[in-house]
Amino acid sequence: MKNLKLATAVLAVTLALTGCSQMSYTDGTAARVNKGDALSLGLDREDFDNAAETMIQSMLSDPAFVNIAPGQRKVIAIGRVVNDTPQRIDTEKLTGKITSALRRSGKFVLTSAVAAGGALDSMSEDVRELRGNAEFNQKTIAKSGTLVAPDFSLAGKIRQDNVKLANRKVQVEYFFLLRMTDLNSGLVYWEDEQTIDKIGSSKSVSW
Amino acid sequence: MHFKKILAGCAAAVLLSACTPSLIHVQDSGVSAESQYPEYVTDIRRRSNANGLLEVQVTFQSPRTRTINYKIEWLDNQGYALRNPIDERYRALRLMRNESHVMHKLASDKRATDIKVYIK
Repeated sequence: MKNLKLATAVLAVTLALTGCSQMSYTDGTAARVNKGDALSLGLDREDFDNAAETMIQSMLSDPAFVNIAPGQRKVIAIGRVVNDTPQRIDTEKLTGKITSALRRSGKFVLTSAVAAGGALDSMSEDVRELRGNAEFNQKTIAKSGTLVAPDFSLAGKIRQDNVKLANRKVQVEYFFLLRMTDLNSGLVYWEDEQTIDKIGSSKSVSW
Repeated sequence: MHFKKILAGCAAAVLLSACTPSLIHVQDSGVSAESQYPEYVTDIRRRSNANGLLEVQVTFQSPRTRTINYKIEWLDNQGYALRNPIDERYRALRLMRNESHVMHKLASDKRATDIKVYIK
């Protein structure tokens, strides 16, 4: 009898704990359709993978880029991706997956010589400062006028909204928006958005 | 005693079969003969999209709500796997009871000619 009581108590505590810590993906509507378990209320690797995959598929299905012929790859520079969430996010987790996929598609190539906030790799500039340095064979130093300017800029925003629900639950809504701008004309050739909604106890923190 | 052994054997067989993923291998000519996939996979389509990239659509419909795990492998024309950081691990997909779910995959690599979908 004593063992039974103990087992019941352990079961109750376990159920209460798992119930409290349960986090799931939802459709974001009042119906709150469960779309599977979530690792946390914050943004994790699965979320970045899903957002990047949606954006890549959208971009590479878009007729705007059909006319880019093989061998005439367009150059992309990374613009500003605004982190409008209370979380510390390395936005390259998103843009890195996208640019590597775009490069593999054979239609685009990424420049690291210019980007919002400074070059991704400053070496393109640094090697040019070696001009006139007698220690270096001047014939091996990049000539002036050889850097290629970008055709497109990839920029966007990651936003987070926390919506308080009944039963001490909270719905965390993440909104990813990306756009590709033609730098010659300033026209947006492609843009898309992806929302990810998660639900969990309001005691769970999303950062 | 003999009954216990049979029972243990059956349990092991069930466990092993659960661990072995089902496979859908889509080639130029359609789904390959080696493919073995669950009955809740109701339709498989492939095409080359306007940008010349392989596009595959798999439709699921399950009589009960279940969560499946799937992994995608893209192959080049010589059968070599192409690395893709997004697709290299299993991902969960929740299927709602009697609701059709369309999974749409687009190869980001222009060399991709085949796709393997592992489901478990």
